[in-house]
Amino acid sequence: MKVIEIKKLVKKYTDAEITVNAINGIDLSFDRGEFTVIVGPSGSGKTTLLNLMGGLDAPTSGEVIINVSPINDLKGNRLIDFRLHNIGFVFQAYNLIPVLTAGENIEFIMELQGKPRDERRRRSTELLNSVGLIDRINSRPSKLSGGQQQRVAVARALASKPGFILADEPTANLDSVSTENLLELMERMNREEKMTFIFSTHDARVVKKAHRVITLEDGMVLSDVRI
Amino acid sequence: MPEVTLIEENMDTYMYFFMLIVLTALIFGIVNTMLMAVLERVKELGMLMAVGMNKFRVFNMIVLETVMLSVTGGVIGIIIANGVVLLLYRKGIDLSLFAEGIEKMGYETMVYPLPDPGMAVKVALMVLLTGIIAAIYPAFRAVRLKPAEALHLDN
Repeated sequence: MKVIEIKKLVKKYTDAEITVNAINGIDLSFDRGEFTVIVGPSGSGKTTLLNLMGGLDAPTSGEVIINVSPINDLKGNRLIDFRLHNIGFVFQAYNLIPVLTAGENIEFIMELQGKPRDERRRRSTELLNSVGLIDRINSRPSKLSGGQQQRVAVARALASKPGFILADEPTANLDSVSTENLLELMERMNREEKMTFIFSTHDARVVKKAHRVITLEDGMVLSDVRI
Repeated sequence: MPEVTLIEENMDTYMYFFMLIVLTALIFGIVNTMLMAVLERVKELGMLMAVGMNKFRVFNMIVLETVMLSVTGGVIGIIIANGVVLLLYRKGIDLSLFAEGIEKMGYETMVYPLPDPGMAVKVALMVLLTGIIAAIYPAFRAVRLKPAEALHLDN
């Protein structure tokens, strides 16, 4: 079952009089339960592609279809609402809310979804348990290490029960032990919950774990290898 | 004395005019503070919109923050002002320097001001209204952020 389908996707940025073709007519699809990495040199279009797949940016032309819904037609709050219910994000810089505890950061997404308090509490506890941070449920991000913050970010991304998770260089700021722990966690989520993960990365350790490696160059797919 | 009545009426008008100037300055102060708060949190706001916080909620969040800031400042200001007025009520304000003119108008040279609860409520409401008005522009700037740009996700 396809969770994402990309058809003839093009993204051009115009700055002053210079037009940059960030994405040049990409066709791709992602099935449920895939563990995919997108690699390529800086400026190859990895992050732009993730932004377009996540509805964070609009394509110049082409289509992004998520769970059979073309997201290009969605605008403003309808698009934000679609992201809330269908897409999980993990950012390079963790981006947890500094004034909330680890538990509250996870609950926050469910609060946006209008879930009742008991359910929020239950799921955040369950998720923190599965990422091995239940003892840090009341800790603020500033009291957590980078690796722990990123695990909370993964738990937050899973909290809304999304169709897939987009992770933009999630290990870029982590040491090797934290990277290994994070990858194990994501692999387990992928294996046990059939969660679809799509990463952009430069990290060879992430590439090693992937089931599918897509290489981009100059906004085009250079290779698409299933392992 | 009709002159005194006229002066008292004018005093009220002057006071409201003075308050208007203060509140206008307050609007600029709040707009500046909240714009800084928005600009400092561009990444956080981008993240909130990326993960699913809609524009209506972001707008409300900024307005609510501004109102809380204004009301907190307003309440502290009213408490301090009342404290000062009560202190002056005990000690009195000595206007003997201007004794001649004041006495001619039938006033005493020692003035004992009293707190005016009605005025405190009016000021509180005006501060609240000022806070709401001042919040609109920063909140509007916040909802116009584009998540992808705010997060600096582009390589």
